[in-house]
Amino acid sequence: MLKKITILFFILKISYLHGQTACSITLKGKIVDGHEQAGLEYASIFLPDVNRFAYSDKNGEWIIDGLCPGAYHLKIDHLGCESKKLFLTITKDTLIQTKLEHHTELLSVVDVMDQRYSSSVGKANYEVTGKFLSKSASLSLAEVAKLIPGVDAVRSGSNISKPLIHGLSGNRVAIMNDGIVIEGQQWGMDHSPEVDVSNAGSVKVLKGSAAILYGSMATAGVVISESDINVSSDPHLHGKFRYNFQSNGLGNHIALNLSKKSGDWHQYLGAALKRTGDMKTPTYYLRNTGLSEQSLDYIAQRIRDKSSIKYTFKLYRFNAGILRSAHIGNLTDLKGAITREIPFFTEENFKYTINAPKQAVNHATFNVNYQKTLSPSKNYYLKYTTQINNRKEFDVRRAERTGTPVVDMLLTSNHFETLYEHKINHSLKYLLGTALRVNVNYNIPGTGSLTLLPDYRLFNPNLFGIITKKIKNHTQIEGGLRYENHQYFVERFVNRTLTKNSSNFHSLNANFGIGSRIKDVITFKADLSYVSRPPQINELYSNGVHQGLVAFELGNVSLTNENSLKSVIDVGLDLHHFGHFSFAFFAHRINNFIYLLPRREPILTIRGAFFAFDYTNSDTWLRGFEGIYKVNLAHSSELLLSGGVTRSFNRDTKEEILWTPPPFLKTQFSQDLYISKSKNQEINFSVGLEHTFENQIVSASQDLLPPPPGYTLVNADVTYKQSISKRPIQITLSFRNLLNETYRNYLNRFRYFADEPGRSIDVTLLYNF
Amino acid sequence: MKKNLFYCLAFVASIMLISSCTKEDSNDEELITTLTYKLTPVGGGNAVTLSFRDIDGDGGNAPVISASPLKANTVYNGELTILNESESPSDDITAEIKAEDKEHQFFFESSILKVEYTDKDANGNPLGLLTKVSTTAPGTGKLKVTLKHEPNKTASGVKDGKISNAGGETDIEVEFNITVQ
Repeated sequence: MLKKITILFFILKISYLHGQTACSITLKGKIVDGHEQAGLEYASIFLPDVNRFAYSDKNGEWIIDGLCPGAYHLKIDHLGCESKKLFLTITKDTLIQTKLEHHTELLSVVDVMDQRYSSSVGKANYEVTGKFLSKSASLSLAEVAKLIPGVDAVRSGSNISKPLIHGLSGNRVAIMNDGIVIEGQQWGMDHSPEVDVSNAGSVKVLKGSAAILYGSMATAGVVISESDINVSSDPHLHGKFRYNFQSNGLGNHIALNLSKKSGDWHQYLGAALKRTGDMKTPTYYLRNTGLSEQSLDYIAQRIRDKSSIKYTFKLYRFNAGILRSAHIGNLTDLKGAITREIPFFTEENFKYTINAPKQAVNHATFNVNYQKTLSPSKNYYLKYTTQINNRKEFDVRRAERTGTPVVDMLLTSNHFETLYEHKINHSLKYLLGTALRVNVNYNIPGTGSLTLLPDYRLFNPNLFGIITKKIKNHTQIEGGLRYENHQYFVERFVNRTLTKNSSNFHSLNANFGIGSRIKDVITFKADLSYVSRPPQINELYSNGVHQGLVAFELGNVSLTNENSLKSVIDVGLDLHHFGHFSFAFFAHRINNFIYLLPRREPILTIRGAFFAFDYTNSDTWLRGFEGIYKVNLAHSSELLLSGGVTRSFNRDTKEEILWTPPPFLKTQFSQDLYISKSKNQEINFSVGLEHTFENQIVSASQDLLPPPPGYTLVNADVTYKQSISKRPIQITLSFRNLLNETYRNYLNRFRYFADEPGRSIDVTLLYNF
Repeated sequence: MKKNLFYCLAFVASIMLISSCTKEDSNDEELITTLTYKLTPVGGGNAVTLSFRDIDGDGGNAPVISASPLKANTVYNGELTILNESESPSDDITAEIKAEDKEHQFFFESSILKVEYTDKDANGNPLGLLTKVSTTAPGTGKLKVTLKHEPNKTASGVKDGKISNAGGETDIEVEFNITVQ
């Protein structure tokens, strides 16, 4: 099934011409621009097996003759495009029509008629493509997703970041990795998702509630990362090797992925290693900000006409130091720390060592995905996923207990899902699904500290349905309903006595979406979702001081469902030579919004005073808009402009919600140049300017420090690529924060303590074989 | 075949569900509940005790703070005792601090008392478990006792009890209302 889509995507048609005798076969082709539908000139067609190549003429046509019958690899390149690879068995004269997408790092997915069940009809759907990912190897998932306007990264220092969609994150944004919703301790602001994007082929974001398919944890949207899996019919071993060095933090990062088809089976292996040391601001080193990250993925997939099965195994390890100067004891320390120009514990010299305070996370995933075609119009899918997540947090402690974690939680998650898809006719289809999720959280004894989150079991059955109708050829509407039940069984200590509690929540979610394409010029998408999100375990039962927050967080067992209504309208205008314009507006009204309300009086303990926060409900709205304008100034240069504003308002306290992203404006210019046309050696320059404004509407009394002033960052990169070669290599030199700007980021929780990292010069080597 | 596979998986999953019921742990908590500052007059006489007790730890019941009055124009030998009284018998945290004396230092900030260090760590820097406390004229004021973990003892003034340059993080911070009669 997947195979069909991939191939359809770039081969339009293969037709066989008249039969010929041995070694006189002619291979002809036509390459069209995927965007303009016109013939593409100067595309190179390379057959590495016989070392032959050709160029397309001004009609996009090319020809290679005198070929013997056999199987050939074909590599098609064009200035500024991603390489396309084909594998063909040729026995007679053949004509190939290929579509080459001449697009960029950021893509607004405008395909209204989705092939597969995805419930994305009305949703603003954006993708960061492989072109961007291949040249920037050492970013986290949130940093990649941040490229998409409306998405931000909320951070705790330089290593920990999580995606924020339209101002919301954590329990309200689902993270999917290769079709699996990640189950970790996602509630914490300082818990980054257990996903490595080193080998990702694309990162997509659905802005708009995706709760019908993924559950109420996707209230604000979903971030989807897919591994770079090749499911072509090519029986040879192919893959990518990438090495990245970053000067700031002296980081080394290696990623390798391999794909091979043998018989019916497509196998994929991905591995990545990353190690960085202390990051440096323009003036000082940020002590203890090293990171060590490893991931290993194995996917085996058997694709047949009537059924397919896919096994996925993933291991992920994350070991990150927490900025030493952000580890503070109490409010007095905090006041001392925030008034300092240069934080405590900064040093003149660089270190790789990762000491306490630190986080060590291990995550293992196993998934089976089975699809069966009952008849051409009926499919069913079975999915089973198990995930084991162990999170350890280490603090600086007395009496050699620093090596003992203060938090040691083992979360086991099991997820069963069945889907039944029926296409009643070519314009009407429906999907019915059931899902059962069982999560068990266990605090491993021996930490010597009170548990922040109790031991619990969550039993979560779900029922859902989606109906999709095509109206004429260019409009599609979709409606969905989902029922969820959350049952928590909790064992916790209250005043040192074991107490058992249980909570039961029912919720009903509904969605309506419309997607339309008018005359290839306008795409219009609108999505309206109602989500009733039950309170999560931390909102109900957390009790204690969270690492580095100096905040005593108290759960509230009397919380009720958070009911939200989110609408997103996304309009795309394709003005051909005048560029592509896309604009999205969202409004999100939340009743019973669950958030942390600060108490007026701090809690007094023997360690001094602490801020106290209670989880509470209030009525809130979030609104905003974002836009992208992309234009080709000449055939090989592109200008990208984007910007966005998000506003939030708590209707009870009449204040903005903390951590709402400040407005931003970005511009990027890129130029592709041939060094040698005959060898298809090209160079790509790109320079980007991004300005983040000061968040001016947070009142002074709301936060410890006023939001930091606005700042402008300059990023630039140069990529060299050689296409016609048996060993195609791509080298990128990139500069992040080129001007070594000293700034603080409002969305970084450690902005109270230290500046952001300064300039980094990165070298990325990509070998595509 | 495929059915068998899924029955297998269902079986595995159900095993996981059954076996994953939680057993509660009795965590030994690394908690400080009690700070006692015993002040014995150098010339003899009744000792004065200042104490801060929060037996149930952070949150829950509020801590109990008590301070007996001191005599004017008197010099006291001060001795700090730190305990975890949530355990039975109680844990002596003082010994832990003594064992890691280089990584700890107490600080005393007062508007009415003069506090000097009389002990030293292995590097010859002050620790503060033992002190000399002197009073002058009668009056009322405050005394704040702070225990810093991993302070920078070589930073300017830290040896003399200046807390603002010390860095580190606070393990204990308690404040007493002091009366000098």
